[in-house]
Amino acid sequence: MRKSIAALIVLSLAGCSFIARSTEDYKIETRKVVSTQDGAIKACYDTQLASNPSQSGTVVVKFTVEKKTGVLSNIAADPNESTAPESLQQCVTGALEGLKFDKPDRRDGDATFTWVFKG
Amino acid sequence: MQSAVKLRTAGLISSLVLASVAFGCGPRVFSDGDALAILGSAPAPEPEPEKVEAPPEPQKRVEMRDNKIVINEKVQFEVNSAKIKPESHSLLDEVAKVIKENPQIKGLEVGGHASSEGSDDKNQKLSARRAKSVSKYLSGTGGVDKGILSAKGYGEGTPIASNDTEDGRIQNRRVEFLITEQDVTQTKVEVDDAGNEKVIEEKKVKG
Repeated sequence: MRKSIAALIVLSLAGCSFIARSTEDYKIETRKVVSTQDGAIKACYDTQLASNPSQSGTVVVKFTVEKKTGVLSNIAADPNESTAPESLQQCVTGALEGLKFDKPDRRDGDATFTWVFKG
Repeated sequence: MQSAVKLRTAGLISSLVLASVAFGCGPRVFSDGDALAILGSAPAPEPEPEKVEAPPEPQKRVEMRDNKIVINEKVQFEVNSAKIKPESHSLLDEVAKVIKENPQIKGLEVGGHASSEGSDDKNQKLSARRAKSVSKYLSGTGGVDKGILSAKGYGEGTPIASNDTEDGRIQNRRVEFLITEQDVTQTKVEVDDAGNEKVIEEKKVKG
């Protein structure tokens, strides 16, 4: 019986051998990663402003940080909550493509981030 | 006793399984409450196209004014000579053109003027020869009716600037074209109550 318990503990630890962030830490880390694209996202907005100087709005993006790889996947703008034009939504989600955590978490992270654009 | 141990073991296993589920590999779900603000840089307004001002109309070299033809360039002569320098030929060609375009001109005097440099006599003769030379050019190359032209040397008697400076003396050495006779059309017009004009008499008189 004791052997069974030990094996269960080992299995439990082996299944989650990556960093285990708290929800808050996960959010902070994700924010750091997406913030590396601030310049690209600003460029998206500036492009919009060139054609419409009064353009403003929000883009709400949902994505998953994959456990073990740390890659951002399933990146999609939420059309119901986003008020910015679709072209800006697409530009923002495109800017987030390919982002990856240096140190993945042992859990997936289901994230929702909002960008507010003001001219 | 054994059953009590079994129960405790089962409880421990359940706790581990539950802990594994609760703290193990389930996804973390989070939403960043603080929106990321992006302040855009509005493109600089298109620069207004530079207003291209029409270039000022170049000053005419030859102008018709009341009783004279004014030249805004000097007629150049060889030093102490009445020979017109070639660079002044085009200017005199323009003078001839203006004269021919104004057939009302019936008399034109070419006046030669000198600065105070040199003797009066010499200046008088040189200015007369220069005036004659210009008149000859106008009637010859310029094709102006010889009958309306006359030439007169004024010497240094009618300066237009001070002879104390070189600049003044340059201004005084000049050729002028004075219209001595021209036809003037006198028109008598009647204006009715509505402001309409009606020519009732028109005649040419000597000006």
